[in-house]
Amino acid sequence: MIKNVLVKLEFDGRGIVNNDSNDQKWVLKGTHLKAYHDNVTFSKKCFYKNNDPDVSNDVDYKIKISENCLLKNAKRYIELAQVPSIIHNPALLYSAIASPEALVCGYLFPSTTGSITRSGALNLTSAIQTCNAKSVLEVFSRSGQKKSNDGTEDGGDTTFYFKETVGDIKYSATANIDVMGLQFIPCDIVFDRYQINPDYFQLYKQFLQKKLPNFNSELGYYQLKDSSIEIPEYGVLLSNENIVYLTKFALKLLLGINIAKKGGYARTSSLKIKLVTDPLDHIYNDENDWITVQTSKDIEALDFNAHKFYKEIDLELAKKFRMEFTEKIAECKRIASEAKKEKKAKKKKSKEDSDE
Amino acid sequence: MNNYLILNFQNAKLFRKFDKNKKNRRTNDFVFSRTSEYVSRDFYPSFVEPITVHQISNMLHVLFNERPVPSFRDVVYDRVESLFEKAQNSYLKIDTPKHNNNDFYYETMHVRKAVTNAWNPSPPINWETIKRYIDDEDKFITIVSFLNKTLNQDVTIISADNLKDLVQNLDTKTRLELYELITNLMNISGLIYFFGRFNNGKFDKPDNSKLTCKLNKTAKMVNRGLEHVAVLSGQIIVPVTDDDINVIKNNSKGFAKILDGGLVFIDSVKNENNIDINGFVKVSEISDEKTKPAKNLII
Repeated sequence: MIKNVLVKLEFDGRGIVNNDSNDQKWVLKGTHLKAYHDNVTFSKKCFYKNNDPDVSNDVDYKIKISENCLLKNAKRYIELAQVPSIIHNPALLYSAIASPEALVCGYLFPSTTGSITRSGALNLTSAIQTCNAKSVLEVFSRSGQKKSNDGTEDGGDTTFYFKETVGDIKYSATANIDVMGLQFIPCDIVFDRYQINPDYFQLYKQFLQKKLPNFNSELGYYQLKDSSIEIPEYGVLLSNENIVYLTKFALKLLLGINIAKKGGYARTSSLKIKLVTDPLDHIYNDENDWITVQTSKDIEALDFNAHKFYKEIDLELAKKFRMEFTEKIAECKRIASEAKKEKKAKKKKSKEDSDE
Repeated sequence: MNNYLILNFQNAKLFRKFDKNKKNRRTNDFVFSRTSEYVSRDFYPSFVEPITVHQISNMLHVLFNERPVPSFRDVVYDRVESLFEKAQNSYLKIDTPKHNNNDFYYETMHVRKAVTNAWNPSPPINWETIKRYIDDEDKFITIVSFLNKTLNQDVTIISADNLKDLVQNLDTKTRLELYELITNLMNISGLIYFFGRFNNGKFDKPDNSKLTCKLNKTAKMVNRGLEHVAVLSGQIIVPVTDDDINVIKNNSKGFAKILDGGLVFIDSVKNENNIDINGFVKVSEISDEKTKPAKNLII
């Protein structure tokens, strides 16, 4: 029964694929990348303190690709759903959020009538350079419009600018697939996790049945096993078969990362996973138990079951808990309102005193 | 002999900017509150220190299979005091170096921005946008019929941009009739701006943006913007008992998150003779002072 999946990723690439602002020039002052101009494009970097006394600059760096850049490439289709015509059409919206990509990578659809948001179960760190490739600032030119169209003036907007470049480069990143996050789709505001509107569940279910194998879960009340907070949460618990499918889907997303930009690319070259059944034995820094995955077939061949983090609560019991909870909320609201009134009165009184 | 859990964290993103008076830096951004209200982002306080006992406590709550408790708003459930105490007795080391002004380097990243921040001065308009904006079949038909009659053609088969140009070429009297018709239909004044508002005796230039400011219908809800973020990594040493180790072994998912997207992995369990707290700070000694709002703004 796996509790999460640890992933080691390696990337091959050439050139810079993820850029940062030119604020970096203040940090890179003492390095060979020092720039006196504003028109400079730097790569994203990790900075380290340089403890070598023989080196004049105190900052060392490694080129990186941010996890946002990696994730954006992995979940490019759910990004496309961020348009009004999809957001405001329940059928299209629930079709989008029922996709395996949305279930794995998460989503956020803000709305005045109830935002829906799901945290991604696929967690990534930035990919950090692992080789010794040194980047340099190169001069490039950009053609611009002539200022006058009739030829009376020769000036134009053609500019020279600096851009950081690098040759062949390797990166590594770590990732994690959160089985607990994958297995539950809450639609309850109690824990601030409103991932779907329960009123649209039947619509949502239709799409899930098309996109997940043998999906047949229903809405119910669930609680984290052994949690000290006894408040059942309303939502949908996915079956083991669905969780395995989504975990494999997440691994395929990672295997398929291929960032292509003008002048550079980076793509997954190696993927190793560790199926965690005991969090204290299966740790990231231990070299044992890693499984190398090279193709989608390797992913399909993986055999595992997911640990069940939630237990179902009987409807009657859930109702009882919810009743107590509602009373507690009302009490909290009353106390907050009284405190607010008291504060207001105090403020008014102090104002009157100062006026006198 | 006491045992300690060694945790490594990477990629913890810190979004916050405040001035030397510990006041949030002014921003035009708005965020959605839980009740779907827009609140100015600089109204919300943040901690002055990058990582405090509250973040570590919440991280431990997740690691020990409990619910994290928000630091800046009330919820109906309480934190687990033993975990909060554990957080206070932990040690923290941030490896990310500080640079100018004794602050971290803030890199630039793309973020999604919502509604009021995502204002687009010249969004492309098409018939679907117009229909969604009007949001009333009768009103839509009334306007289309008027335009069909005035321009003597079926306006729905030409593009909204071309329609705008054709309306601009009409004489003032006809344009004023259209202006009046839109005004009488009520609640669709964005169309007046789309065709050019009559102001001080002349027509303004057309403004597309008013058609995309109706929040639930046509707004460009999520645009990309730029934000500055510091990315932190480091280590946390947490005192644990044998019971805690059992909880992690049996119930924990084995990892947690800290700040925004920071992954916390278990490194090892060591006894007190084998841990080195050089360079670490005891978490209870880290101040949990909060920044002040730039301006009290709630919309």
